[in-house]
Order: sequence, then C-alpha cells, then structure tokens
Amino acid sequence: MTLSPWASAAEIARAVGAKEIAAAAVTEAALATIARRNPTLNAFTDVTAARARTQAAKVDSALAAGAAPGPLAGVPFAVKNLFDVAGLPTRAGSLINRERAPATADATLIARLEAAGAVLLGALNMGEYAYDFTGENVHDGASRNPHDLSRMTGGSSGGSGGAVAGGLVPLALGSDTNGSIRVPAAFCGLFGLKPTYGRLSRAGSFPFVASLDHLGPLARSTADLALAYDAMQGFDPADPVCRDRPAEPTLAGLRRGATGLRVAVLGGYFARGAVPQALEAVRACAEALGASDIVEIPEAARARAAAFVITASEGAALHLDRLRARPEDFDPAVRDRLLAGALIPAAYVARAQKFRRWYAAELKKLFERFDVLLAPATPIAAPRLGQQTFLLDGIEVPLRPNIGIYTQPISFVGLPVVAVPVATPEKLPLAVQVIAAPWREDFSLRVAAALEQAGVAHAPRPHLED
Amino acid sequence: MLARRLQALPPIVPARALVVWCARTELGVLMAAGVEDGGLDHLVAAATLLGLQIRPEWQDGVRANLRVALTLGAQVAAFPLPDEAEPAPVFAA
Repeated sequence: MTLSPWASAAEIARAVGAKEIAAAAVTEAALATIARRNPTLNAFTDVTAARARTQAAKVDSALAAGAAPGPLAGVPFAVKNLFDVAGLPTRAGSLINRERAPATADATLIARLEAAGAVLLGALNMGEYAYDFTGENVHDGASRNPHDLSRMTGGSSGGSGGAVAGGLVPLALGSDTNGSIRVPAAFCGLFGLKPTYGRLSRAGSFPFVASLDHLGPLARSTADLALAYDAMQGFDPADPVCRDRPAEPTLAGLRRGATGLRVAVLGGYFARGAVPQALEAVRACAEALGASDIVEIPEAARARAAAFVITASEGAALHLDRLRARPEDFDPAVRDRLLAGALIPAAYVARAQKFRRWYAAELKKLFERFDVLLAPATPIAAPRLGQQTFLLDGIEVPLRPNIGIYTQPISFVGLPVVAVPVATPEKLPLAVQVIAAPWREDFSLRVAAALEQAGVAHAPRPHLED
Repeated sequence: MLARRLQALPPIVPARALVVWCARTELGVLMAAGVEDGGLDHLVAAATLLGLQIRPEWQDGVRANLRVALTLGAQVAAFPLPDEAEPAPVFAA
C-alpha cells in the first residue's frame, strides 16, 4: 500500500495501526516529499531524518510485538523552530539563538505526540523571535505560500503553514501570541487551533510574550486537529501557566457538529476594513450554521491596542540583553520594533493589563448568550513577498502591524479559536475564526467540523510541480 | 502624562486629536504620523539609560514604531477604569 502526500493524519494512523503500511514507509515517503518540495517552499530549516527513521522503526516494532497502536501511529509531523528538539539549537527564527548549545530534551508537546506514535521530521521556518505576521525571515529566507510561491505564508508560524499546505507533513505545531497560528492558517488555507491560554504546555519552547503565548496545531482537517490536540492535553508542572485540568478529549464529539450550539457573528470592529471576500467567508459560514445574530465585542479596537502595547513592551524586556549586546544581528524589522518597545512608558503597559481584566469580563457576559462567535481571521488574503503596505478601510497602512487586527482582540484574553479555511472565488484562501468561551475548544472544533461537513470549509490543495 | 506633554508641544496633529481619531476609526489604523518628532526625542534619548544604542540609520524605523506604540498606548490609557480595577498580567481563564 502507498499513501498520497495528501493523506490525513487520521488516514495514516489507521493504515499504520492496521499494519497496511509500515511507519517506516510513511516516513521515507514524507522525507522524499520534503526533499522534492522544500527547496521551493523553504518550510523546513532542519530535517531530522535519522531521528525520524529511529522513531518509525520503534512504532513498527511495537506494533509487531502486539502493542496497541497510538492514535497518531506513524503520523509525520514537524514543529516551528522555537520548540526544543533534542540535538538542535532552538533558533526561534534568529541568528543569535542558533549559536546556543543544542537542546538536551524535547519540548513537552513533541514528547506527547511521539508518545501517541507520531514521528518528528524536523523543525520549521518562522519569523524572527515570533514577532511577525508575514513568514519572512532575513536569516533563513521567506517561507513560501504553496498556493502562490510569490506570496507570504503568513507568520510567525510560516513554515508550519507552508509544510502542511504543501503536503510535506499532515500536521505541524506552531505558536500563537497575537495570531501566529491563525494568520498562516488563513493565508495557506488550513485548519489551525489556538487553544485556551494555559491549556497546552509551553515547556521547552522559546517564549515571546509570556502572558500571551500559546502553542497549538495546524492541519488539513478538523479531525486531524482534534487528534493532535487530544494527544497533547494534560497538566505539565514544567509550565507554570499550564492549568491543572483533566484532559477533555474532543475527537469523538466532532460528529455532534453544531447541534445545540448558539452561534453569532461578530459585527462592528470585526465587520469593517476587511476585503469583501473575507467578510463573505464569514457570511457563508454563518449561513451554513443558520446563525443570524450579530453581536459586538465592546472596545475591541482598544483590546487590540492593549495587546500591541503589552507585546512590544514584554517582548523588548525579554530581548533586552540581546538588544544591548548584538543589535546588528537581529532582523532589522524586528529590531526596530523591539527597540521601540523598550521605550514605551510603563504606565501604558500597566493600564493595558488593567484594561485586560475589564475586557475579559465583558466577553464573559457575551458567552452567557452565545457559545460560538464568528469573525474573519485576517483582513486580506496572502500578500506578496516583500509587500510593505495594504489598504485597510481605504487607507494605506503598514502591513506587518496590521495583519493581526482581528486575531489580537481574541488571543488578548486567551479564548480558544479554530481558524477554518474557506475557499474564495480567487486563487487564494482565507479563514474564519470560530471563537468559544475559555476551555470550550470542543465547541470551536465541533463548529469547524460542521462547516467542513457542509462543504463550506476545506483545505484547498495547491498545484505544485514536483 | 506623556500625552499631556505631547499636547504641550507645537504639534502637527495634537495628541488628543490623534487619540480621538484612532478611537473613532476603531480599527486603530496605524499611521506613522501624529506624534511629533520633538515629543519622541526624550524617549529615544532614554534608550541610553537602558544601555541600548540606536544608530542613526535605525532612528527612522524605531521612531516610526514608537509613534505607533505611543498612539495605541494613549488609546488604552484614555479608557476610564476605577482605581480598584485589578490588572491581569497573567490571564487566568
């Protein structure tokens, strides 16, 4: 038996578990695909072939010995290069950090996926220190969008988007501080899950903004997201933010779809500024779900502003020593933002943190009336590589700080979101945010599954010349 | 205080007007104009207190980003909250 490079994680795990194909064969096929396509897509910065072959052999040996297959048996995956991978320096997209000693242990989430039978194939390109929405990287080169090689993948989990959308792996991990999973999901046409803040362990990952950092998966289907998410749940004392909650598996519940869930569309701030296709994608999802209510999140623009200020200030504090010692070794675009962040008056940051609690309380009230909220993920589809500005509400604005205008007010208070890809009449995909109350990832995933079932949401397959 | 100080300067666009404009547009459109260069000088000069060097060729980029951050910071600070309002530096859902 052979599997297509576009086989889902669920299909691979089933076939490997049934011994219809060996994990070793799946791994070799994936390594061959990476060898063919990565020179074009520039998604991988490290390919851990020897490690992958060892892990695949371990999966096959365990199955041959009669062990029960893991839920991700033989599934190839890769991680943004801010995850610790034993034996690799954790570069986090930077020049400076790649001089570090190799990591001595894997990040918690890698260990959990491998415990479920998955096979790590390597580390993925990203924007420097995750302060990025483009997927461009001055040190490693830009990751390229499989749907149009002249365009951005989005960032900062750019390689994660390119690797999954390009069929190199069915599953990748990314991080999302202000939208860095949801933006690549939108630009590359993928499903991406940013869980509740504190749900998944961040231990063994390089931080950016401690009070906003999340980790999560990107995949080409809701079921694959749920498979990976379920395998990664659980308390981890190594991450002080990770909450001690029991795992709440989601995969089995997907078949319930949106039945019984109260869905509304976000208006006001979230209905202005985007290109018509982005708003049409939201409308198509709402129609498929029978959702007619339109609600507004109060002070969403200010929430975005507060997230911006906290990010700039906390990010600058994190990198202060490196900014002092080696400023010339930063990506210039990142350096300028971090230097400016170091100069923000502390009073603004303190006020932003005060505002944050007020805003969270307002959202809590909204979730008493609704279970799920829909909003665009990005105001535009993938820009061209090197593009510096775009039109927002008819005004030309800088690209980098404004791609995340719809994602930032959501992650600011740690809400779970599934970015759902929606095909557009044009070549490039867009995504809709399916947002739920804290700890209700199951609601977001069920609605994403319902949209997939209805044919509204799907991950389009790019035309790549091998 | 910074916003007040900026208002005291002979501005191209008064800081208060900029804040109002940002609030009105709601999208927080990030135009680099509005915070006048003189208002940034003392903050940029303070970089040395942090041990940071801002080379001449980096000045434009840093100032542009700082203008954006100050504009958005002023927008946040303009929101009325009671003295008793608790911050949420680590959000717990």
